[in-house]
Amino acid sequence: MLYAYGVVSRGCSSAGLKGLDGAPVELLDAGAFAVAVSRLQAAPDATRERLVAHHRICLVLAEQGGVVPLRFGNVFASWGDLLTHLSSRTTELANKLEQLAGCVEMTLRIPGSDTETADSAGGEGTRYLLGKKRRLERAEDIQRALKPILKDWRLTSGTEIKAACLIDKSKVAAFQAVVKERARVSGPWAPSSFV
Amino acid sequence: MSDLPGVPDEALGDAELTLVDLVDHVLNKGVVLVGDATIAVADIELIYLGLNIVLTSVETAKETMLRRGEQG
Repeated sequence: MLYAYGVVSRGCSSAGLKGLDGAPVELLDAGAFAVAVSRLQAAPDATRERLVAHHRICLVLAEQGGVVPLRFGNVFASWGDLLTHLSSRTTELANKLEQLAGCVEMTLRIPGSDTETADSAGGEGTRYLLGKKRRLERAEDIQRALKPILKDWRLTSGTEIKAACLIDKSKVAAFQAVVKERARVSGPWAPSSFV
Repeated sequence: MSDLPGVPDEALGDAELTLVDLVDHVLNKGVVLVGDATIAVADIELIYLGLNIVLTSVETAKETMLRRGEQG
């Protein structure tokens, strides 16, 4: 069966790339774009090693030209089966690929600080909300500082304030210089928050 | 050691932060082309996946309670 990693630009090359379980990665031509796949014996369980392999393939392809990353676990009985699933979404995926060409994603986490919670009166709920408000303000400051290099930005505020940042692959160092000591950063990742 | 060009290993270090991000990016996001793209979690290391879900639920519950407290 075919395991699919992502929809990629036709100019990408999979030469030498090893994917899940060391299987070679092939780029199959689907017309408007290509699809990065590996041939596997069975649908893979999600292990850490395989998640890393999926991530690495998507990132290499993102850095080569562009990728619309698929979620882990998309398997197809055959190429014909995959094409059938793609057929109704060709335009959508081609447009998305164009938007994401040359882009990678960075993840930011905005930490709280002890002083935030210690300097406010009130109950636990008040302190929690005040702390969150300040972290959101810090996120806005970071977003402003990043404005020249940000292509897109998705903020989520749950247990922690987290932001997915879409940038050109050439801007990773510039990005890290701006956010250094202001937030915790991971990446680059394939742009999976922007599909 | 990285076996792929352009992918430094430190980007995938063993930090808990990165593992949570790995799970979030690869299992929780990305295009789904097949309706039956099921995820079987086979590796004990992915206990973080469960942990993350529990933390999210607790957080959601906490926020809901706080919101209710404010309204009430």
